[in-house]
Amino acid sequence: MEVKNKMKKNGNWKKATKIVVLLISSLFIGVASAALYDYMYLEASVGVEGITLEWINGTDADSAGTQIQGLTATLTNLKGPPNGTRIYSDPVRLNNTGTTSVTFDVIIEDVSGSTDQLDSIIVRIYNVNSSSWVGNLTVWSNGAKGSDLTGLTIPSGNQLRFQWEITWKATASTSDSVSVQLKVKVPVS
Amino acid sequence: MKKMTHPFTIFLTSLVVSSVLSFGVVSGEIYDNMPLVSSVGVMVPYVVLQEGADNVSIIFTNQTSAMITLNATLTSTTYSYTLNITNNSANPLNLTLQIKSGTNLDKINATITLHNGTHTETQIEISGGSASETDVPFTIQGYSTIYIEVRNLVENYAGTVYLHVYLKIDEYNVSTYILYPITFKFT
Repeated sequence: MEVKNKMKKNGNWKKATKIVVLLISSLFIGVASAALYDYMYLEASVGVEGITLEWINGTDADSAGTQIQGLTATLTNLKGPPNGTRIYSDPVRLNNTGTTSVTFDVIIEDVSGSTDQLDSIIVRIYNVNSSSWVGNLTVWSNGAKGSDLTGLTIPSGNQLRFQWEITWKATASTSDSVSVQLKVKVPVS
Repeated sequence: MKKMTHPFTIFLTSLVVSSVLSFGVVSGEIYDNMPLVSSVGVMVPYVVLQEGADNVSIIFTNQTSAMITLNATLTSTTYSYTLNITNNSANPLNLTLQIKSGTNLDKINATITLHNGTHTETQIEISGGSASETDVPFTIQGYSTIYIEVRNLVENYAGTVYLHVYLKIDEYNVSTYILYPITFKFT
């Protein structure tokens, strides 16, 4: 009887040991397969910045189809004749509402579409207040995108008009069009 | 001593590199971007060039550019209908001729005008080896045709003369305008 009890006890211990081993193994597997993270906190307070430059309509805004939304100006209706040049003298202006002058760059981001039919697009920038020339941006010429304009300045309270000159090749037709994306890049001081 | 210099050099180099990197990060620039987006299409010309009654012009594709070839002699000659300009829109438009460039202008004298048969505006004078423009617009009425005249053309001495001009079309009630290239060739 004693021997029988001893055997029974041994059997229980063996079962218990097996369960404990199993549990520990499970724990190891669980730990091993869990992803571990370190957390690094980056907190920011994001406010609305009072940028002093704004796009405003020029005197040719209606014919150019100028639309301004926030910081983006879109000229929806620029057109030129084939083998001739159409000049929009004043479709859109850059206005400095601040009390200090601002230096900026004009970047040619993209020119796409029927560029094989496009002879040239030149944007000439003039200061409306002083009636002076500020710079020429060759957007497209000789089959290639032009170079960016850098280091331009707009004095406090002044307006710059962006004159667009569009020349299509003689073979261009009304089904041709190009999309131009420029951007005025203003360093935040 | 040499063993001491080597780690010190590495330390100094590391210091310089980290300073440069730190400076670059600290002085990194921030920009506001203001996009200017446009869609540029092709328009149907509503002012077109056509060959005049003098039969001295070549009209190029789409009727927006032309070449006028005239024979200059020692005898003063006037060609009143070298090129037709037709306004296919309903609006009156102001037209002017603007000088782009010229070669051998000293070989001829001439006056270039815009007219409609009853009214004339002088546009360009060629005299004494140079050309000058008056910048006086001629108003073409809607759905009408006017003409380019070359008046009192006279050859001073033999040779070919080129005068490249633009026909400037001021669009109705806006400051937008169109330029058509026109070449005068005097032989």
